[in-house]
Amino acid sequence: MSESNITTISIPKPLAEKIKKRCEGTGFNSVSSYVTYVLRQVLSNMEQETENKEQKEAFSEEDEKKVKQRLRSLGYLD
Amino acid sequence: MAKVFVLGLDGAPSKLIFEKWKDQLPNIAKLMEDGCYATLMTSIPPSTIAAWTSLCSGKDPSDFGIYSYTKRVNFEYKENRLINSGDVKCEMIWDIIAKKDMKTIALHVPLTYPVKKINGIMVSDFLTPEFNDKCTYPAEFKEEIRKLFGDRYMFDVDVGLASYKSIEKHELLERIFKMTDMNFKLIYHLLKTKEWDLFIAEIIGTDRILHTFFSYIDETHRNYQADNEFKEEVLRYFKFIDIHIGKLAELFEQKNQDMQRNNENNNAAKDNKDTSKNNNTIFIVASDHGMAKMDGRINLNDWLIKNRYLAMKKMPLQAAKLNFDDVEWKNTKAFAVGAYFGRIYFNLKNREPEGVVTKKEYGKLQDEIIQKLAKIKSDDGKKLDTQFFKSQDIFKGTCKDEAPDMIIYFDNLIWGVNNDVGNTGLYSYKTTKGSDDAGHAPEGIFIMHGKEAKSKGNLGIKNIIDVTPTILKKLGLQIPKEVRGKIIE
Repeated sequence: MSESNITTISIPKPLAEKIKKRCEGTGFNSVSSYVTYVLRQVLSNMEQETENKEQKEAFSEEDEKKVKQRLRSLGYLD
Repeated sequence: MAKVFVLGLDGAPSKLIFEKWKDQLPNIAKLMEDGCYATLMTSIPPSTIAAWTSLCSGKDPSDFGIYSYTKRVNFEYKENRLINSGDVKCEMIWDIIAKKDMKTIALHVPLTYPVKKINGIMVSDFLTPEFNDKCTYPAEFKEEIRKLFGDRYMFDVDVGLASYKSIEKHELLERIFKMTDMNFKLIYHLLKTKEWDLFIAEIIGTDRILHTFFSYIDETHRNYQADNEFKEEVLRYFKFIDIHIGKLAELFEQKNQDMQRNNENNNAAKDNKDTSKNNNTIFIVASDHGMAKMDGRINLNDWLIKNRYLAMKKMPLQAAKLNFDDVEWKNTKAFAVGAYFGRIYFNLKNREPEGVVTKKEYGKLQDEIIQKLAKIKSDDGKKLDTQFFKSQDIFKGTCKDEAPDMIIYFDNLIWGVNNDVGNTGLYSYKTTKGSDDAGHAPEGIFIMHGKEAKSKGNLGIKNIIDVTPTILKKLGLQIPKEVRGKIIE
Protein backbone atom coordinates (compact mmCIF):
# COMPACT_ATOMS: atom_id res chain seq x y z
CA MET A 1 0.00 0.00 0.00
CA SER A 2 1.45 3.38 -0.90
CA GLU A 3 2.20 5.87 1.80
CA SER A 4 -0.54 8.27 0.63
CA ASN A 5 -3.20 5.62 1.31
CA ILE A 6 -2.29 5.29 4.96
CA THR A 7 -3.36 7.53 7.79
CA THR A 8 -2.49 7.60 11.50
CA ILE A 9 -5.14 6.97 14.11
CA SER A 10 -4.48 7.45 17.81
CA ILE A 11 -5.41 4.80 20.34
CA PRO A 12 -4.63 4.70 24.06
CA LYS A 13 -1.21 3.21 24.81
CA PRO A 14 -2.47 0.49 27.21
CA LEU A 15 -4.80 -0.66 24.44
CA ALA A 16 -1.92 -0.74 21.96
CA GLU A 17 0.06 -2.84 24.45
CA LYS A 18 -2.82 -5.22 24.86
CA ILE A 19 -3.12 -5.57 21.10
CA LYS A 20 0.59 -6.12 20.77
CA LYS A 21 0.39 -9.03 23.22
CA ARG A 22 -2.56 -10.43 21.38
CA CYS A 23 -0.69 -10.15 18.06
CA GLU A 24 2.04 -12.44 19.23
CA GLY A 25 1.85 -15.73 17.53
CA THR A 26 -1.05 -14.73 15.28
CA GLY A 27 0.98 -14.10 12.15
CA PHE A 28 0.33 -10.38 12.18
CA ASN A 29 3.63 -8.57 11.99
CA SER A 30 2.42 -5.29 13.49
CA VAL A 31 -0.25 -3.77 15.67
CA SER A 32 -1.39 -1.71 12.65
CA SER A 33 -2.02 -4.68 10.42
CA TYR A 34 -3.83 -6.50 13.22
CA VAL A 35 -6.04 -3.47 13.97
CA THR A 36 -6.73 -3.00 10.26
CA TYR A 37 -7.82 -6.63 10.02
CA VAL A 38 -10.07 -6.42 13.07
CA LEU A 39 -11.69 -3.16 11.97
CA ARG A 40 -12.38 -4.53 8.50
CA GLN A 41 -14.06 -7.55 10.08
CA VAL A 42 -16.16 -5.39 12.37
CA LEU A 43 -17.23 -3.03 9.60
CA SER A 44 -18.05 -5.87 7.25
CA ASN A 45 -20.19 -7.51 9.96
CA MET A 46 -21.97 -4.23 10.55
CA GLU A 47 -22.66 -3.81 6.86
CA GLN A 48 -23.95 -7.36 6.68
CA GLU A 49 -26.21 -6.67 9.64
CA THR A 50 -27.58 -3.55 7.95
CA GLU A 51 -28.29 -5.55 4.82
CA ASN A 52 -30.04 -8.26 6.80
CA LYS A 53 -32.07 -5.64 8.56
CA GLU A 54 -33.02 -4.06 5.26
CA GLN A 55 -34.29 -7.41 4.04
CA LYS A 56 -36.34 -7.79 7.18
CA GLU A 57 -37.70 -4.34 6.66
CA ALA A 58 -40.63 -5.63 4.72
CA PHE A 59 -43.81 -4.19 6.07
CA SER A 60 -44.59 -6.25 9.17
CA GLU A 61 -48.05 -7.45 10.18
CA GLU A 62 -47.89 -5.17 13.18
CA ASP A 63 -47.11 -2.22 10.87
CA GLU A 64 -50.05 -3.13 8.68
CA LYS A 65 -52.41 -3.27 11.66
CA LYS A 66 -51.33 0.14 12.92
CA VAL A 67 -51.40 1.84 9.54
CA LYS A 68 -54.83 0.37 8.74
CA GLN A 69 -56.19 1.83 11.94
CA ARG A 70 -54.77 5.24 11.06
CA LEU A 71 -56.10 5.16 7.49
CA ARG A 72 -59.52 4.18 8.71
CA SER A 73 -59.56 7.12 11.08
CA LEU A 74 -58.49 9.40 8.23
CA GLY A 75 -61.37 8.19 6.11
CA TYR A 76 -59.02 6.90 3.47
CA LEU A 77 -59.65 3.22 3.77
CA ASP A 78 -62.15 1.66 1.41
CA MET B 1 -27.15 23.57 -13.34
CA ALA B 2 -29.08 24.21 -10.17
CA LYS B 3 -29.98 22.65 -6.89
CA VAL B 4 -33.69 22.13 -6.38
CA PHE B 5 -35.73 22.50 -3.21
CA VAL B 6 -39.33 21.28 -3.36
CA LEU B 7 -41.78 22.17 -0.61
CA GLY B 8 -44.85 20.00 -0.94
CA LEU B 9 -48.01 21.44 0.54
CA ASP B 10 -50.21 18.38 0.57
CA GLY B 11 -53.67 19.08 -0.78
CA ALA B 12 -53.12 22.83 -1.31
CA PRO B 13 -55.78 23.85 -3.85
CA SER B 14 -55.08 26.33 -6.64
CA LYS B 15 -58.37 28.13 -6.01
CA LEU B 16 -57.45 29.08 -2.46
CA ILE B 17 -53.73 29.73 -2.94
CA PHE B 18 -53.77 31.43 -6.34
CA GLU B 19 -57.07 33.26 -5.99
CA LYS B 20 -58.89 33.59 -2.69
CA TRP B 21 -55.91 34.00 -0.35
CA LYS B 22 -53.22 35.29 -2.70
CA ASP B 23 -53.24 38.81 -1.25
CA GLN B 24 -52.88 37.48 2.25
CA LEU B 25 -49.97 35.16 1.52
CA PRO B 26 -47.33 37.71 0.47
CA ASN B 27 -44.37 35.35 0.25
CA ILE B 28 -46.18 32.86 -1.95
CA ALA B 29 -47.46 35.78 -4.06
CA LYS B 30 -43.90 37.06 -4.48
CA LEU B 31 -42.65 33.67 -5.68
CA MET B 32 -45.52 33.63 -8.18
CA GLU B 33 -44.81 37.16 -9.38
CA ASP B 34 -41.05 36.76 -9.71
CA GLY B 35 -41.20 33.21 -11.00
CA CYS B 36 -43.85 31.11 -12.70
CA TYR B 37 -46.87 29.16 -11.55
CA ALA B 38 -49.46 26.76 -12.85
CA THR B 39 -52.48 24.78 -11.77
CA LEU B 40 -51.07 21.30 -11.30
CA MET B 41 -53.50 18.59 -12.34
CA THR B 42 -53.20 15.59 -10.09
CA SER B 43 -52.98 11.93 -11.05
CA ILE B 44 -55.92 9.74 -11.91
CA PRO B 45 -56.92 8.61 -9.34
CA PRO B 46 -56.32 11.64 -7.07
CA SER B 47 -55.07 9.59 -4.14
CA THR B 48 -52.29 11.20 -2.09
CA ILE B 49 -49.94 8.25 -2.41
CA ALA B 50 -50.52 7.79 -6.15
CA ALA B 51 -50.15 11.53 -6.74
CA TRP B 52 -46.90 11.87 -4.77
CA THR B 53 -45.44 8.83 -6.47
CA SER B 54 -46.35 10.44 -9.81
CA LEU B 55 -44.81 13.74 -8.78
CA CYS B 56 -41.58 12.08 -7.70
CA SER B 57 -41.26 9.73 -10.67
CA GLY B 58 -42.80 11.48 -13.69
CA LYS B 59 -44.95 8.41 -14.25
CA ASP B 60 -48.62 7.57 -13.89
CA PRO B 61 -50.28 5.09 -11.54
CA SER B 62 -50.34 2.36 -14.19
CA ASP B 63 -46.54 2.60 -14.41
CA PHE B 64 -46.01 1.92 -10.71
CA GLY B 65 -49.21 0.07 -9.78
CA ILE B 66 -50.64 2.29 -7.04
CA TYR B 67 -54.34 3.11 -7.35
CA SER B 68 -55.27 3.49 -3.71
CA TYR B 69 -54.14 2.54 -0.22
CA THR B 70 -55.15 -1.04 -0.80
CA LYS B 71 -54.51 -3.56 -3.47
CA ARG B 72 -56.46 -6.60 -4.55
CA VAL B 73 -54.75 -9.90 -3.90
CA ASN B 74 -54.55 -11.79 -7.21
CA PHE B 75 -58.12 -10.69 -8.01
CA GLU B 76 -59.41 -13.14 -5.45
CA TYR B 77 -62.53 -12.48 -3.41
CA LYS B 78 -60.51 -11.47 -0.38
CA GLU B 79 -60.02 -8.36 1.67
CA ASN B 80 -57.64 -5.98 -0.06
CA ARG B 81 -54.07 -5.85 1.14
CA LEU B 82 -52.62 -2.60 2.44
CA ILE B 83 -49.82 -1.28 0.31
CA ASN B 84 -46.48 0.13 1.42
CA SER B 85 -43.30 1.53 -0.14
CA GLY B 86 -42.29 -1.95 -1.33
CA ASP B 87 -45.21 -1.91 -3.76
CA VAL B 88 -43.87 1.04 -5.77
CA LYS B 89 -42.76 -0.53 -9.03
CA CYS B 90 -40.73 2.24 -10.64
CA GLU B 91 -37.62 4.32 -10.40
CA MET B 92 -38.09 7.44 -8.28
CA ILE B 93 -36.34 10.74 -8.90
CA TRP B 94 -33.87 10.07 -6.07
CA ASP B 95 -32.90 6.77 -7.74
CA ILE B 96 -32.38 8.56 -11.07
CA ILE B 97 -30.16 11.32 -9.69
CA ALA B 98 -28.19 8.93 -7.46
CA LYS B 99 -26.76 7.39 -10.65
CA LYS B 100 -25.01 10.71 -11.22
CA ASP B 101 -23.83 10.76 -7.63
CA MET B 102 -26.31 13.43 -6.66
CA LYS B 103 -27.77 13.51 -3.20
CA THR B 104 -31.40 13.74 -2.13
CA ILE B 105 -33.02 14.65 1.14
CA ALA B 106 -36.60 13.39 1.08
CA LEU B 107 -38.82 14.20 4.03
CA HIS B 108 -42.25 12.64 4.50
CA VAL B 109 -42.91 11.88 0.85
CA PRO B 110 -46.08 9.74 1.00
CA LEU B 111 -45.56 6.02 0.52
CA THR B 112 -41.93 5.90 1.60
CA TYR B 113 -42.44 3.70 4.67
CA PRO B 114 -40.53 1.46 5.21
CA VAL B 115 -37.73 3.66 3.88
CA LYS B 116 -35.47 2.29 1.18
CA LYS B 117 -31.78 2.97 0.73
CA ILE B 118 -31.11 6.26 -1.03
CA ASN B 119 -28.08 8.41 -1.75
CA GLY B 120 -28.83 10.91 0.97
CA ILE B 121 -31.39 11.05 3.75
CA MET B 122 -34.98 9.89 3.85
CA VAL B 123 -37.58 10.28 6.59
CA SER B 124 -40.81 8.40 6.01
CA ASP B 125 -44.35 9.74 5.78
CA PHE B 126 -47.71 9.90 7.53
CA LEU B 127 -48.08 6.15 7.01
CA THR B 128 -45.30 5.57 9.54
CA PRO B 129 -46.82 3.43 12.30
CA GLU B 130 -44.30 4.48 14.94
CA PHE B 131 -40.91 6.06 15.44
CA ASN B 132 -38.79 3.03 14.59
CA ASP B 133 -35.72 1.97 12.60
CA LYS B 134 -37.70 1.79 9.39
CA CYS B 135 -38.63 5.45 9.30
CA THR B 136 -35.24 6.96 8.49
CA TYR B 137 -32.46 6.22 6.06
CA PRO B 138 -29.79 5.90 7.21
CA ALA B 139 -31.25 4.25 10.33
CA GLU B 140 -28.84 6.28 12.48
CA PHE B 141 -30.50 9.50 11.35
CA LYS B 142 -33.31 8.59 13.73
CA GLU B 143 -30.96 9.53 16.57
CA GLU B 144 -30.52 12.97 15.10
CA ILE B 145 -34.29 13.45 15.08
CA ARG B 146 -34.42 12.13 18.62
CA LYS B 147 -31.86 14.71 19.70
CA LEU B 148 -34.02 17.47 18.24
CA PHE B 149 -37.46 16.31 19.33
CA GLY B 150 -37.07 13.38 21.69
CA ASP B 151 -39.41 10.56 20.74
CA ARG B 152 -42.20 12.98 19.98
CA TYR B 153 -41.58 13.66 16.33
CA MET B 154 -45.00 13.70 14.69
CA PHE B 155 -45.61 11.88 11.42
CA ASP B 156 -49.29 12.73 11.53
CA VAL B 157 -51.84 14.43 13.75
CA ASP B 158 -53.24 11.28 15.29
CA VAL B 159 -50.37 10.57 17.62
CA GLY B 160 -51.14 7.48 19.63
CA LEU B 161 -53.51 6.46 16.87
CA ALA B 162 -56.50 8.15 18.38
CA SER B 163 -59.31 8.30 15.92
CA TYR B 164 -58.81 11.28 13.68
CA LYS B 165 -62.49 12.08 13.58
CA SER B 166 -62.89 12.05 17.30
CA ILE B 167 -60.08 14.50 18.07
CA GLU B 168 -61.58 17.66 19.46
CA LYS B 169 -61.20 20.53 16.97
CA HIS B 170 -59.08 22.84 19.15
CA GLU B 171 -56.81 19.96 20.02
CA LEU B 172 -56.60 18.94 16.36
CA LEU B 173 -55.66 22.45 15.32
CA GLU B 174 -52.97 22.60 17.95
CA ARG B 175 -51.54 19.29 16.79
CA ILE B 176 -51.48 20.41 13.16
CA PHE B 177 -49.52 23.56 14.07
CA LYS B 178 -47.19 21.61 16.33
CA MET B 179 -46.50 18.94 13.73
CA THR B 180 -45.84 21.53 11.01
CA ASP B 181 -43.54 23.43 13.30
CA MET B 182 -41.55 20.23 13.84
CA ASN B 183 -41.45 19.64 10.07
CA PHE B 184 -39.93 23.08 9.44
CA LYS B 185 -37.47 22.75 12.32
CA LEU B 186 -36.23 19.53 10.76
CA ILE B 187 -35.99 21.21 7.34
CA TYR B 188 -33.89 24.10 8.72
CA HIS B 189 -31.69 21.68 10.64
CA LEU B 190 -30.99 19.67 7.49
CA LEU B 191 -30.41 22.79 5.38
CA LYS B 192 -27.83 23.90 7.89
CA THR B 193 -26.03 20.62 8.39
CA LYS B 194 -26.32 18.41 5.30
CA GLU B 195 -25.38 18.45 1.65
CA TRP B 196 -27.97 17.87 -1.04
CA ASP B 197 -28.70 18.43 -4.69
CA LEU B 198 -32.42 17.78 -4.38
CA PHE B 199 -34.44 18.43 -1.24
CA ILE B 200 -38.09 17.38 -1.17
CA ALA B 201 -40.09 18.08 1.97
CA GLU B 202 -43.77 17.28 2.21
CA ILE B 203 -46.04 19.00 4.69
CA ILE B 204 -49.09 16.89 5.54
CA GLY B 205 -50.64 19.49 7.85
CA THR B 206 -52.04 21.45 4.90
CA ASP B 207 -54.05 18.39 3.84
CA ARG B 208 -55.20 17.59 7.36
CA ILE B 209 -56.44 21.08 8.14
CA LEU B 210 -58.35 21.34 4.87
CA HIS B 211 -59.97 17.92 5.26
CA THR B 212 -61.18 18.68 8.74
CA PHE B 213 -61.97 22.40 8.70
CA PHE B 214 -63.28 22.95 5.19
CA SER B 215 -66.87 23.42 6.30
CA TYR B 216 -65.72 26.30 8.51
CA ILE B 217 -64.15 28.24 5.64
CA ASP B 218 -66.15 27.44 2.53
CA GLU B 219 -69.30 29.57 2.36
CA THR B 220 -70.89 27.13 -0.08
CA HIS B 221 -70.40 24.12 2.21
CA ARG B 222 -73.64 22.62 3.51
CA ASN B 223 -72.52 22.86 7.11
CA TYR B 224 -71.05 26.35 6.86
CA GLN B 225 -72.05 28.77 9.56
CA ALA B 226 -71.09 32.39 9.10
CA ASP B 227 -70.16 33.09 12.70
CA ASN B 228 -68.12 29.97 13.44
CA GLU B 229 -65.04 30.22 15.63
CA PHE B 230 -62.68 28.46 13.20
CA LYS B 231 -63.45 30.69 10.23
CA GLU B 232 -60.02 32.33 10.18
CA GLU B 233 -57.98 29.39 11.50
CA VAL B 234 -57.17 27.72 8.20
CA LEU B 235 -55.96 31.00 6.73
CA ARG B 236 -53.98 31.64 9.92
CA TYR B 237 -52.29 28.28 9.37
CA PHE B 238 -51.53 29.06 5.72
CA LYS B 239 -50.08 32.44 6.79
CA PHE B 240 -47.82 30.50 9.15
CA ILE B 241 -46.75 28.33 6.19
CA ASP B 242 -46.29 31.49 4.11
CA ILE B 243 -43.90 32.96 6.69
CA HIS B 244 -41.78 29.82 6.46
CA ILE B 245 -41.85 30.03 2.67
CA GLY B 246 -40.57 33.61 2.95
CA LYS B 247 -37.82 32.45 5.28
CA LEU B 248 -36.78 29.66 2.95
CA ALA B 249 -36.85 31.96 -0.11
CA GLU B 250 -34.63 34.43 1.73
CA LEU B 251 -32.22 31.67 2.69
CA PHE B 252 -31.90 30.49 -0.91
CA GLU B 253 -31.63 34.05 -2.22
CA GLN B 254 -28.87 34.81 0.27
CA LYS B 255 -27.00 31.68 -0.70
CA ASN B 256 -27.32 32.48 -4.40
CA GLN B 257 -26.03 36.01 -3.85
CA ASP B 258 -23.08 34.86 -1.72
CA MET B 259 -22.15 32.40 -4.38
CA GLN B 260 -22.39 34.93 -7.15
CA ARG B 261 -20.16 37.31 -5.20
CA ASN B 262 -17.64 34.53 -4.65
CA ASN B 263 -17.66 33.67 -8.31
CA GLU B 264 -17.15 37.26 -9.33
CA ASN B 265 -14.41 37.93 -6.81
CA ASN B 266 -12.13 35.00 -7.25
CA ASN B 267 -13.56 32.87 -9.98
CA ALA B 268 -14.26 30.33 -7.28
CA ALA B 269 -16.21 28.01 -9.50
CA LYS B 270 -13.06 27.02 -11.35
CA ASP B 271 -11.01 26.42 -8.23
CA ASN B 272 -13.63 24.83 -6.10
CA LYS B 273 -13.65 21.10 -6.69
CA ASP B 274 -17.10 20.71 -5.19
CA THR B 275 -19.13 22.41 -7.86
CA SER B 276 -22.37 21.24 -6.28
CA LYS B 277 -21.92 23.96 -3.69
CA ASN B 278 -21.87 26.53 -6.44
CA ASN B 279 -25.30 26.01 -7.83
CA ASN B 280 -28.22 28.36 -7.62
CA THR B 281 -31.19 26.99 -5.77
CA ILE B 282 -34.51 26.70 -7.51
CA PHE B 283 -37.44 26.83 -5.13
CA ILE B 284 -40.54 24.84 -6.09
CA VAL B 285 -43.76 24.87 -4.07
CA ALA B 286 -46.16 22.18 -5.21
CA SER B 287 -49.18 20.23 -4.07
CA ASP B 288 -50.21 16.71 -4.96
CA HIS B 289 -53.91 17.52 -5.38
CA GLY B 290 -56.43 20.18 -4.52
CA MET B 291 -59.29 20.12 -2.09
CA ALA B 292 -63.00 20.72 -2.50
CA LYS B 293 -66.04 20.56 -0.27
CA MET B 294 -67.79 17.27 0.00
CA ASP B 295 -71.57 17.36 -0.23
CA GLY B 296 -71.99 13.72 0.72
CA ARG B 297 -71.37 10.26 -0.62
CA ILE B 298 -73.07 8.09 -3.19
CA ASN B 299 -73.82 4.57 -1.97
CA LEU B 300 -72.21 2.96 -4.98
CA ASN B 301 -72.44 -0.71 -4.05
CA ASP B 302 -76.08 -0.30 -3.07
CA TRP B 303 -76.64 1.27 -6.48
CA LEU B 304 -74.91 -1.69 -8.17
CA ILE B 305 -77.15 -4.07 -6.21
CA LYS B 306 -80.28 -2.15 -7.15
CA ASN B 307 -79.29 -2.14 -10.81
CA ARG B 308 -78.54 -5.88 -10.76
CA TYR B 309 -74.80 -5.67 -11.34
CA LEU B 310 -74.01 -6.95 -7.85
CA ALA B 311 -75.90 -9.93 -6.43
CA MET B 312 -75.96 -10.69 -2.72
CA LYS B 313 -76.64 -14.02 -1.03
CA LYS B 314 -77.54 -12.09 2.08
CA MET B 315 -77.63 -8.46 3.13
CA PRO B 316 -76.27 -7.19 6.44
CA LEU B 317 -78.82 -6.18 9.08
CA GLN B 318 -77.44 -2.67 9.11
CA ALA B 319 -75.11 -0.81 6.73
CA ALA B 320 -71.73 -2.55 6.67
CA LYS B 321 -68.66 -3.06 4.56
CA LEU B 322 -69.24 -5.34 1.58
CA ASN B 323 -68.41 -8.85 2.69
CA PHE B 324 -67.18 -10.87 -0.28
CA ASP B 325 -68.49 -14.07 1.31
CA ASP B 326 -72.02 -12.66 1.05
CA VAL B 327 -71.78 -12.04 -2.69
CA GLU B 328 -73.38 -14.38 -5.18
CA TRP B 329 -70.53 -14.24 -7.65
CA LYS B 330 -72.06 -16.24 -10.46
CA ASN B 331 -74.66 -13.50 -10.86
CA THR B 332 -72.35 -10.54 -10.19
CA LYS B 333 -70.88 -8.38 -12.90
CA ALA B 334 -69.33 -5.58 -10.87
CA PHE B 335 -68.57 -4.31 -7.37
CA ALA B 336 -67.14 -1.06 -6.05
CA VAL B 337 -64.58 0.22 -3.59
CA GLY B 338 -63.69 3.79 -2.82
CA ALA B 339 -63.97 6.65 -0.36
CA TYR B 340 -63.43 9.95 -2.20
CA PHE B 341 -63.58 8.50 -5.69
CA GLY B 342 -65.19 5.27 -6.89
CA ARG B 343 -63.35 2.30 -8.28
CA ILE B 344 -65.43 -0.33 -10.02
CA TYR B 345 -64.05 -3.80 -10.65
CA PHE B 346 -65.74 -6.18 -12.99
CA ASN B 347 -66.13 -9.84 -12.15
CA LEU B 348 -64.09 -10.77 -15.20
CA LYS B 349 -63.90 -14.23 -16.72
CA ASN B 350 -60.41 -15.76 -16.47
CA ARG B 351 -59.37 -13.10 -13.96
CA GLU B 352 -61.69 -13.43 -10.98
CA PRO B 353 -62.23 -16.97 -9.61
CA GLU B 354 -65.89 -17.04 -10.67
CA GLY B 355 -65.73 -14.32 -13.31
CA VAL B 356 -68.72 -13.89 -15.61
CA VAL B 357 -67.99 -10.79 -17.71
CA THR B 358 -66.27 -11.68 -20.98
CA LYS B 359 -63.65 -9.54 -22.71
CA LYS B 360 -66.20 -9.00 -25.50
CA GLU B 361 -68.74 -7.56 -23.07
CA TYR B 362 -66.18 -5.41 -21.26
CA GLY B 363 -66.51 -2.11 -23.14
CA LYS B 364 -70.26 -2.47 -23.49
CA LEU B 365 -70.67 -2.98 -19.75
CA GLN B 366 -68.56 0.09 -19.03
CA ASP B 367 -70.71 2.20 -21.35
CA GLU B 368 -73.92 0.85 -19.90
CA ILE B 369 -72.86 1.62 -16.30
CA ILE B 370 -71.59 5.07 -17.29
CA GLN B 371 -74.84 5.88 -19.03
CA LYS B 372 -76.84 4.96 -15.93
CA LEU B 373 -74.53 6.53 -13.34
CA ALA B 374 -74.45 9.77 -15.34
CA LYS B 375 -78.15 10.15 -14.60
CA ILE B 376 -77.59 10.32 -10.84
CA LYS B 377 -78.46 13.76 -9.55
CA SER B 378 -77.62 15.36 -6.23
CA ASP B 379 -79.99 14.78 -3.33
CA ASP B 380 -81.63 18.12 -4.11
CA GLY B 381 -82.13 17.27 -7.76
CA LYS B 382 -79.22 19.13 -9.33
CA LYS B 383 -77.28 17.70 -12.25
CA LEU B 384 -73.86 16.32 -11.26
CA ASP B 385 -70.70 16.88 -13.29
CA THR B 386 -69.64 13.25 -12.93
CA GLN B 387 -66.43 12.12 -14.60
CA PHE B 388 -65.78 8.59 -15.76
CA PHE B 389 -62.46 7.02 -16.64
CA LYS B 390 -62.25 3.72 -18.44
CA SER B 391 -59.18 1.69 -17.56
CA GLN B 392 -58.13 1.02 -21.14
CA ASP B 393 -58.36 4.72 -22.07
CA ILE B 394 -56.10 6.13 -19.38
CA PHE B 395 -53.78 3.40 -18.19
CA LYS B 396 -50.97 2.34 -20.51
CA GLY B 397 -48.18 1.40 -18.11
CA THR B 398 -46.78 -2.00 -17.19
CA CYS B 399 -49.10 -2.29 -14.17
CA LYS B 400 -52.28 -1.48 -16.13
CA ASP B 401 -53.77 -4.92 -15.59
CA GLU B 402 -54.02 -4.27 -11.85
CA ALA B 403 -56.07 -1.12 -12.40
CA PRO B 404 -59.75 -0.88 -11.53
CA ASP B 405 -61.94 -1.31 -14.61
CA MET B 406 -63.54 2.09 -14.10
CA ILE B 407 -62.86 5.16 -11.97
CA ILE B 408 -65.66 7.56 -11.11
CA TYR B 409 -65.55 11.11 -9.75
CA PHE B 410 -69.09 11.99 -8.69
CA ASP B 411 -69.65 15.66 -9.47
CA ASN B 412 -65.93 15.93 -10.15
CA LEU B 413 -65.22 14.74 -6.58
CA ILE B 414 -67.68 17.01 -4.78
CA TRP B 415 -69.59 13.82 -4.00
CA GLY B 416 -67.58 10.99 -2.50
CA VAL B 417 -68.31 7.28 -2.41
CA ASN B 418 -69.63 5.04 0.30
CA ASN B 419 -68.99 1.39 -0.55
CA ASP B 420 -70.85 -0.05 2.44
CA VAL B 421 -73.94 -2.05 1.61
CA GLY B 422 -77.37 -1.90 3.21
CA ASN B 423 -77.69 1.89 3.50
CA THR B 424 -81.02 3.60 3.25
CA GLY B 425 -81.34 5.37 -0.07
CA LEU B 426 -78.66 6.53 -2.50
CA TYR B 427 -76.91 9.16 -0.39
CA SER B 428 -74.85 9.05 2.80
CA TYR B 429 -73.73 12.03 4.85
CA LYS B 430 -72.20 11.09 8.14
CA THR B 431 -70.28 7.90 7.54
CA THR B 432 -67.67 5.97 9.44
CA LYS B 433 -65.11 7.04 6.87
CA GLY B 434 -63.54 9.96 8.64
CA SER B 435 -64.10 13.60 7.95
CA ASP B 436 -66.86 14.51 5.57
CA ASP B 437 -65.79 18.14 5.24
CA ALA B 438 -63.74 17.95 2.06
CA GLY B 439 -62.42 15.57 -0.54
CA HIS B 440 -59.62 15.76 -3.06
CA ALA B 441 -60.00 18.06 -6.05
CA PRO B 442 -57.92 17.58 -9.20
CA GLU B 443 -56.39 21.08 -9.16
CA GLY B 444 -53.20 21.44 -7.14
CA ILE B 445 -50.48 24.09 -7.34
CA PHE B 446 -47.04 24.46 -8.88
CA ILE B 447 -44.81 27.50 -8.30
CA MET B 448 -41.20 27.71 -9.46
CA HIS B 449 -38.81 30.46 -8.49
CA GLY B 450 -35.12 31.01 -9.05
CA LYS B 451 -32.61 32.37 -11.46
CA GLU B 452 -32.71 29.26 -13.59
CA ALA B 453 -36.47 29.08 -13.85
CA LYS B 454 -36.91 30.62 -17.28
CA SER B 455 -40.69 30.75 -17.52
CA LYS B 456 -42.49 33.69 -15.98
CA GLY B 457 -46.05 34.29 -14.88
CA ASN B 458 -49.10 32.10 -15.18
CA LEU B 459 -48.40 28.97 -17.22
CA GLY B 460 -52.00 27.78 -17.14
CA ILE B 461 -52.37 24.07 -16.55
CA LYS B 462 -49.55 21.59 -16.04
CA ASN B 463 -49.61 17.96 -15.00
CA ILE B 464 -48.19 16.38 -11.87
CA ILE B 465 -45.99 14.11 -14.02
CA ASP B 466 -44.22 17.24 -15.35
CA VAL B 467 -42.50 17.93 -12.03
CA THR B 468 -39.87 15.18 -12.19
CA PRO B 469 -38.58 15.97 -15.72
CA THR B 470 -38.54 19.66 -14.76
CA ILE B 471 -36.37 18.96 -11.72
CA LEU B 472 -34.07 16.65 -13.71
CA LYS B 473 -33.58 19.35 -16.35
CA LYS B 474 -32.74 21.95 -13.71
CA LEU B 475 -30.24 19.54 -12.17
CA GLY B 476 -28.61 19.29 -15.59
CA LEU B 477 -29.57 15.66 -16.16
CA GLN B 478 -30.99 13.71 -19.08
CA ILE B 479 -34.63 12.69 -18.83
CA PRO B 480 -34.96 8.86 -18.90
CA LYS B 481 -37.32 7.70 -21.63
CA GLU B 482 -39.70 6.08 -19.11
CA VAL B 483 -40.50 9.49 -17.65
CA ARG B 484 -43.78 10.59 -19.20
CA GLY B 485 -44.04 14.25 -18.18
CA LYS B 486 -42.94 17.37 -20.04
CA ILE B 487 -40.31 19.83 -18.86
CA ILE B 488 -41.49 23.15 -17.45
CA GLU B 489 -38.69 25.51 -18.47
